[in-house]
Order: sequence, then structure tokens, then C-alpha cells
Amino acid sequence: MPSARPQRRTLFIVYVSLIVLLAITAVAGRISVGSNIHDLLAFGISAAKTALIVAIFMEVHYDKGVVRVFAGAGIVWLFLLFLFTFTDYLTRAWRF
Amino acid sequence: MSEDASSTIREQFETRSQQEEADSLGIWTFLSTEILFFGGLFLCYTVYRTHYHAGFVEGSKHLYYSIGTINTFVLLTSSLFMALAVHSIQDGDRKKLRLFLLLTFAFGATFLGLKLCEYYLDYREHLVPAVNFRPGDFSHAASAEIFLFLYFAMTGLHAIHMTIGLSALTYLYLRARKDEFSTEYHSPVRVVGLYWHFVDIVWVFLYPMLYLVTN
Repeated sequence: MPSARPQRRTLFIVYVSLIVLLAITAVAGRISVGSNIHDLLAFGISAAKTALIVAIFMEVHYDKGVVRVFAGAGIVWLFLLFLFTFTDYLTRAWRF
Repeated sequence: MSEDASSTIREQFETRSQQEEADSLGIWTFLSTEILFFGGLFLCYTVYRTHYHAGFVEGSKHLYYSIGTINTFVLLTSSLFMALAVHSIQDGDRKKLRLFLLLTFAFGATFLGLKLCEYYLDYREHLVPAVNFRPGDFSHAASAEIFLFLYFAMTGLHAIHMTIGLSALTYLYLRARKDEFSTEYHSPVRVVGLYWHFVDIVWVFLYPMLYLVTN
């Protein structure tokens, strides 16, 4: 079929990258580098893994615009959910 | 073959690519609602974690880090097999489709099996809130119990999604055995694949959230 899709080789490259990222997370999880740096690393890697899976395994990189918009919509609403909740929780201690 | 192929285009669509785009749009709409479904729990987790960090660190230390790591590896591998299954049927290779569906199922089932073993070990260590949680084992018992409650709620919801995924894979395999999929028609394989990868992504976030909370 002529429609765009990842090559088989690309799938394997993505898989190896995912496993390497997992190994980094797992090893870094055992080293104490301070809570904030550690969280940043762990969730940064999770975001990178997600980007790889969504773009290549889920073929969003090869999809048309409207599918990309629908795929992104959930993330936008999730962002708003966190944004509005934390503008409340993180500012409760403020005194004006 | 062309007659066979045209029969798989539903009457409301002009072309195959239009039908396939509608299929993608449908499953992505569903997955967007799923992001918010899990999002509620993720938000709840984040709020409690910012408030009760010490209890979350303590609770996390009681979990089986090694099982969590192995399970992440198992699930990522199952995602590769799912992607290969879609790739194979796009090439019209039905034998490889069946093989990769079986491998995806096997790794998915392994994940669930390991998860069940882990639940049993958690139970034996008195980590189940409202069932046999032992506050005396913790210095921040109340907040550690909140962490463990979220651990069971989130991994439990994820396990339910895995079970649905395994059922969908079984359905695909039974249809694949009857040679119902081809290069021209394989939307069900693609749609289940997208669902499977989504469930994988949820675990990619659950893994550091639950097993890797450090000081």
C-alpha cells in the first residue's frame, strides 16, 4: 500500500532506544542525585519514550493533520487540568 | 482481489484511505478520553505527592522495584511486536501477522502474570490498604497508605486495560486465522495496535511514579 508508514528498521531502532532509555531510568533511580534532578530525569525520559511510541509505533508522524489534532487534544486538556489545579494548590500558602 | 477489496469499503466512504482516516480518528477520539480518564488519577497522585512527599518515598521503597523494571521491559517489547504485526499485514504477510499477534499476547500475559505475583507479594508484606495494611511498619503511615492506595488503584486500572487489550488480541487472532485481514483491509489490527501502545504509554509513566520516588 502506498500510504506512508515507518520502515521495519525504524521500528527496531525505536525499540532499542526505548530499552536504552529504560536502562537509564532504572540505573538513575538507584543513584541519589537529589529529588528534583531525579524527577526531572525520570519524567523527561518518560516523555521522550512517549514521543517515540506516539510518533513511530502509533504512526502519528505519518498521519494527516486532523488525526494529529485529535491525538493532541487529550494532552491539551490534561495540561489544562493540571494547570488550573496547581494554580490553586501551589498558591494557597501565598499571603498578599 | 479487487472485488474482494472493494467489498471492505463501507458505503459511506468514497475511498479506502478515507475509511482508514475515519478509523484512526475514531480510536484517537477514544484515546483522548482515556488520557483524561487516567489523567484524574495522575492529577490526584501529583497533588498528594507534593503534600506528602516523605510518605510517598517510604511507600515506594516497599514496592518490588525489580518486578516493575522487568514488567516495563516486557511491555515495551510487546509494543514492538504489535507494531511489527501491523507492519506485516500492511505487507500482506498473514503468517507473520499471526506470529506477531501471538508474541504480543504472550508478552502481555507475562506482564499480567508478573503483576499478579507482585500483588501477592505486596499482600504478604501487609501493604494492601483497608485489607491488611500495617501502620507500625511505616514512620509516615498515613501518607504511605495514600501512596499505596494510589498504587493499587492506578496499576489495577491499568491491569483492567491490559485484560481488555488481551481480549482484543484474541479476537484479532481468531479473525486472522480465518485470513480476514489483508494489505487492503486491516483496520482492526491498526486500531487495536493504537490501543495497545496507549496502554503501554500509561505504564511508561506509572513506572517512575510508583517505583522510583526518591529523596
